[in-house]
Amino acid sequence: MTDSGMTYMVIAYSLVFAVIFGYTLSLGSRMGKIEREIEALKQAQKK
Amino acid sequence: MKADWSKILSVATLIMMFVSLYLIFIYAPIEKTMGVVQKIFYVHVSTAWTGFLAFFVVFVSSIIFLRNGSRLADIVAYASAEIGVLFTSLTLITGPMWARSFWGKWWDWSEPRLVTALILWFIYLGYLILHRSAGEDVRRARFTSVFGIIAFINVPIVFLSVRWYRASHPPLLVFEPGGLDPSMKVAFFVTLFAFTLLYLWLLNLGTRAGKVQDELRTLKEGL
Repeated sequence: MTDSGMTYMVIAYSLVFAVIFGYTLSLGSRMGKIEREIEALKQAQKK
Repeated sequence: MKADWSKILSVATLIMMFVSLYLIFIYAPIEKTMGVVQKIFYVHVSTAWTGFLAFFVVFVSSIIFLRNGSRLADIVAYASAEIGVLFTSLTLITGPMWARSFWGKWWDWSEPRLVTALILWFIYLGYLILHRSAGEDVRRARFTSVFGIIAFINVPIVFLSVRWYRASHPPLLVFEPGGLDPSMKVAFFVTLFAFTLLYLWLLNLGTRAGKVQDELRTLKEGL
């Protein structure tokens, strides 16, 4: 049980932090994309 | 000078995450019966707590939206539901890892905690789909909010299911005398606090993303 326990523990922690990191990155890129689109629209309105 | 709360929150979250990892892996001892796999408990309960907290915020924000039609409350509700579903997914993944090692099986359909948590996950996944499809339609947005309020009923059911029914899923022994080693309690509460900060930080990011999405929509309508 100890060996598999260690494996499951490592997988569990790696997965949790990888998913949180991935979600944070996706939120950031989502926001960046919208902000760039807003900037482009504002520029288009000025012209 | 105005303090940048988002930056302060992100730094505090990062520090607390490292502190909690130190406490889990170095400070807290290895549990005698379950062995090292017991350490999944810290992250498993913390992700579950974050999910519950997120769904509570959906509940409160939905009430606010229904009362005064606040667009911000609607944005917060959606952002919080997204985080809640994400963390409940992590709870549903880390739980079976502990179960496989300790019970010898990944899942047990006769376990009320497992089944009610899965139902909770499906309900809020449905909420996210409904919310996305509602778009700018105020009537549909109000219906989604009602759904967000009613869905919260399942949260106390998930929490209390272990006490209501005979189950193998371990109850939370943190508050019971002799339940947890004092150093494990410290690691547990610090991890819980770190995940609460993480939730607040993610909610802040999600709300900001929702606001810029709104700004984009308004700009497009103005063209």
